[in-house]
Amino acid sequence: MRLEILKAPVAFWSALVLACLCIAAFGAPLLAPYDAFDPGSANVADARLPPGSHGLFGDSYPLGTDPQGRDLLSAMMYGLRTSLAVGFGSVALAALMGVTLGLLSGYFGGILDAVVMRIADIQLSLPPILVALLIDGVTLAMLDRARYDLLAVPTLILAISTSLWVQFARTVRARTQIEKNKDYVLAARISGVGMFRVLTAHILPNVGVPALVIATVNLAVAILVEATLSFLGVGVPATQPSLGTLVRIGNEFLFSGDWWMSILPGGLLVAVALSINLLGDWLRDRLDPTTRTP
Amino acid sequence: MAFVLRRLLHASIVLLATGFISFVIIRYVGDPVNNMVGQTATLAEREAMHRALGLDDPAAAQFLRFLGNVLSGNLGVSYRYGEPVAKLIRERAPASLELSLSAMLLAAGLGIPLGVWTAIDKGSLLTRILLALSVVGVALPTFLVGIVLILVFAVNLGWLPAFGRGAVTDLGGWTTGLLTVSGLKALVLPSLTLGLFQMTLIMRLVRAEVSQVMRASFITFAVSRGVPRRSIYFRHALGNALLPVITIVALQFGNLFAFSIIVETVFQWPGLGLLVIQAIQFADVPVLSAYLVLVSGVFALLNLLVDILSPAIDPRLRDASHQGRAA
Amino acid sequence: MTPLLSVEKLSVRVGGLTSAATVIDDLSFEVSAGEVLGIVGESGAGKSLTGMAILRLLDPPLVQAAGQIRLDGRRIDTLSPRDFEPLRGKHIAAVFQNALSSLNPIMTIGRQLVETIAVHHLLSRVQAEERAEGLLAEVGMPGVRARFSAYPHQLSGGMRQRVVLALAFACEPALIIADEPTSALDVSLQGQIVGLLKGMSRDRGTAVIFISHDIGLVAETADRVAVLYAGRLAEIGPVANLLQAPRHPYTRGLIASIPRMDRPLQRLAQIEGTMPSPGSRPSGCAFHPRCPVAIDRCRLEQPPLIARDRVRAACWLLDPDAAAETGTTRDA
Repeated sequence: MRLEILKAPVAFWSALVLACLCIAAFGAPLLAPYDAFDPGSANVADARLPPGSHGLFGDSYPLGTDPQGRDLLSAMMYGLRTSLAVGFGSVALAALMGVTLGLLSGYFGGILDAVVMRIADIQLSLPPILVALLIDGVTLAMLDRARYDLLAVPTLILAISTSLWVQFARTVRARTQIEKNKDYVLAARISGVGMFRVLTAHILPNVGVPALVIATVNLAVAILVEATLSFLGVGVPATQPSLGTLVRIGNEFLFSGDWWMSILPGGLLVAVALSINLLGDWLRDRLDPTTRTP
Repeated sequence: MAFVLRRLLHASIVLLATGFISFVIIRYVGDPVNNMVGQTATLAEREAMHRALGLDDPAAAQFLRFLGNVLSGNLGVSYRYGEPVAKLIRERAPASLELSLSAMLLAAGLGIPLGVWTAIDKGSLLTRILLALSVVGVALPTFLVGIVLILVFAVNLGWLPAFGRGAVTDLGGWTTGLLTVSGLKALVLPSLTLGLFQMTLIMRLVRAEVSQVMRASFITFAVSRGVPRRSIYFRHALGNALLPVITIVALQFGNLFAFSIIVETVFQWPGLGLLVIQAIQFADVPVLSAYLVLVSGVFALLNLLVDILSPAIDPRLRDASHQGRAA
Repeated sequence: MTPLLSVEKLSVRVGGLTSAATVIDDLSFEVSAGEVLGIVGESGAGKSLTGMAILRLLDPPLVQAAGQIRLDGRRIDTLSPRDFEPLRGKHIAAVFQNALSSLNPIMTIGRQLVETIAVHHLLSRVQAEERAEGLLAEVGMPGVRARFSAYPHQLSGGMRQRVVLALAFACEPALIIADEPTSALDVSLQGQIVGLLKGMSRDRGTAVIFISHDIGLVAETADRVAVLYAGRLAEIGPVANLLQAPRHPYTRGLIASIPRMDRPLQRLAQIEGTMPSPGSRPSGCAFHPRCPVAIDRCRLEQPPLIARDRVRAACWLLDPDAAAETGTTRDA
């Protein structure tokens, strides 16, 4: 499969772009020309310079500077890191929640199943952004400023995960219901294998692929939801800006014609989401052809 | 009839559940007393307020009172504005509704025909362009679309306003921007922004459904009888594809709640979305809890509507013995 | 006299990136105006595909690779899709197997009938409705007026197939291709529907190609029968000849395997083995591995259609030269 990606140019280039972006993001401390978090590197005198300018002291800013005089390229790299981290983290947590609930629901049935599925049904008609926004917003209202900065990111991740777990749960539940009646499970149970082991060692590997498929679908969604929440001011705190935060900050100066501060981080966001989706489509076609659209 | 009653019961349970969550939020988040009397109130004044608000009563009684309030239209008083939440909602609803409706009109008006086209004319250039664009469209965050549109049409070209509703006319409680030129102009960019994502969604959905229907045997039979292509596409195929499409479009109206929050923020459009985001920023709990009830009410209503309308569209659902999609 | 339909050396292939196979090979037959030609064979022999090829309803990757199809002497297989459209319904119509899925579930059967009639005849709405009612009465639908506003799912299987027949005849075609029209029905209904088909086509002078795996049914209905095996024509001739004196060993096997009610109970005769799939046809005559009377030549060369009495069969045993060879060894 690794070599086959060479045959699909779209997937190949997406993977390449994504790889470069990940390196830029997670290697930001090493690779970024300036440390975006170091207050000393921001030179207020250099604020809002267009791309390609040079600062007062000869610093070059290939993508311009933000309202505080920070190099936009560096800010974007750090921002990308935050965006990706929150995105991955949310999907991982959603998968954990969803797969666990799906396994338990599918295996045991009964009241647990009924309750979980009811909640899932209701939640499915709500768009993720709404669920995440409401959970995040209400939690924010409950916390005061000091604790907010500490808990913002975990709350955000929890909120986004809660909006995404349903698909995992439903699919895993359906698969579990099928698998639990199969002979190998019966054999394991008859030979006295404990329930936990049956679930984890026997059933879980068989539901892994569908779960992975769902994860790829939702990764871009998670990243965009985080970006939107940060844009609205209820996402990551200002101390750890994500790409969404950068767009928000830059947006205030849109009217003066200083477009790069919001458009460039926004463009990077789209690039990330698009390459994840394209790569995900290719992966899905290979892993589970039944989900292919005509 | 029994079917409708069952759906009503189901909806009521959901509403009750959200009402409960809403109640918990408004009662236990923050300090209602504090928000009503301010920081400098004396202890006696606080206790008086406490009793006045009925906060000493058992929780169940408070919940029932809350439900009674909601059902009679009393949704509390906003911490930020000091005005009844119900009034705020009434004032701002027209703005959101006009925006949502025009966005939906755009989305369905373009999305459905384009979806049919891309399903039928599979190889054409237009189809391939549209499909490529729709892939990109899914990766575009709504707020960015709004920002780009503002940049191009408001800042650079100066054709359209970048924020606000323009001049509105008050039609006895309903403020509309449709009767003024500036109002209509102000509606364009926000509607485009809100409608774009919906349009992409609808187009892909219609395409999938129509493609599926086109493979059905009755289409082949109709073709073999010489029924003209146009009739096949628009009467036979689209007619059968319409039920799932309409179901999803109706539910998408609910989606608009979420996305209008974003669009109204970007364009400073004075609707419910902007109200909510400000409520979050200012921890205006009554507004938030009322919004929760409102959203779940609208969703429940929409679901009910779809359930009732479905048999009207698909004859197979009309007889009790054929409940649910026939094969 | 030119036959109504003439199929010459038709070949249909399944194209693919990794493999290609011939599903219909060098098939030739004719249908005269007003006659009923039966096409029989096992599943996968290529019967349905023959009908689809004539109707130009082959879905890719199936494609006509060779041969000619003529209607009234005019070639129709090379017409562009747009030029072929006017022939649909008016000249060639079809009846398919599953009636429920042949009918549009969200249109009343009245509307579907009127629509079809209106396509092919210039009539006012009222006249079209009258004609539709007439057709429904002709196919034996009880309570015609009430049925008009019925939806397909409200009718029983037998009634639905009657509606399908009505729809096909509404076009007043010269040829109807009936692809397993009764296979989804109870045996008791099969006879009725087949009787209807035969009666209505006789009244209108419509030719019918009756495709079925049920040789008994075909024997009752058809004037002539073509037997397909592994995509090739094994035998073709008048039905009486085929029933009483089949020339091809496969046909003989088929006829022998029909359960007989007029003899004491016996074991059902079978033809041993199974028909090869398109990709794995044996050399020579495709039937030779299963044939009880195969000779060496059968293994080496495909037999052409050889005429004997009023029948043509693709069997070396009919060739006076080949039959001179000794031995009727069965190949391993």
